[in-house]
Amino acid sequence: MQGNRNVMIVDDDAHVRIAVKTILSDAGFHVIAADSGSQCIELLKEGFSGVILLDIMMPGMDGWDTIRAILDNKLEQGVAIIMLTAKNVPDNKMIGLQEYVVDYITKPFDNEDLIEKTSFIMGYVNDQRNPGTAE
Amino acid sequence: MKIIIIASSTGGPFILESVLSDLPVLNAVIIIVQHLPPAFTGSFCKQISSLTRMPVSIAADGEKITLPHVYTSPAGKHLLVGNNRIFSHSDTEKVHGVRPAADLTMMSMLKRSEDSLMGIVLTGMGRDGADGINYLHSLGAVTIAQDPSTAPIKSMPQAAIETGQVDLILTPDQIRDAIVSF
Repeated sequence: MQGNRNVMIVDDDAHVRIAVKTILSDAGFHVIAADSGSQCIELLKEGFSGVILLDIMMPGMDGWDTIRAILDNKLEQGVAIIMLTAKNVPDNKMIGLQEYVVDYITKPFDNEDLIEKTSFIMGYVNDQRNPGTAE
Repeated sequence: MKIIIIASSTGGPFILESVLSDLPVLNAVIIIVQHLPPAFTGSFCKQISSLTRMPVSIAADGEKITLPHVYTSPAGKHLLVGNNRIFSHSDTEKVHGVRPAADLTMMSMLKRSEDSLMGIVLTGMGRDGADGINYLHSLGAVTIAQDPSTAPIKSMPQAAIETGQVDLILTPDQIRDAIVSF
């Protein structure tokens, strides 16, 4: 496999973190886990780049707060965000942030859907590292 | 000239793989307004170009529309179409929290007897595209919303449908067929 295969699962639910890590590791991704938005920010500051699977409903800093913190700290380069959440309908906190959420997966998720969308969005991250022309 | 404007947001890049799958060269112009982080604008354009043999490029400020062509929206700027033929970029404030906003692109279109218009709203958060669809319908355009049951995020197509000005509610594959037969 070539290019970036890094995935960060950000979820306060340990069962979800373990499930995602198992599924995506088996699919060839390198998966790290964060149990909070603040830990996600710390891992980004340490240099993580790749796809972030981000839960919305977390205690303290929720998913939208986490995206705002990513932007405020200018940590958005080299990352693509997929919301992974049990919440069916995004709330008003997403206004102004929706362009930073490339895709959205509802829990409970289908394993193949998770792998397929993560692979697809990873293509954007890798293309950002190795840009070419469209024409 | 046949002009098709697509509003797309969260989940859109993946859905467009179906909507534009193996799209033949059409005698039409397709304008895709996609909400994305600015850094991914080029990647998105490259992805779309992999789906069709039609020329694909990011619409440039001052560029004259050519036929056939697929244009994608620029990074962080609204995309307007003057006299249905000339693109311009705008830095005006975000609309419904987004820039580019498909509403502004759609609402920059004019009713011209030589043009046929189609407006499409795909998956996404918020309500971008709904006002644009309402306006395009008033110009006689064919208006389409993605079937919300097939959308990762239902808000945008649902908002378009709630205007009462959507002609067709279709699955991604059906939207492809509608584009090809337009």
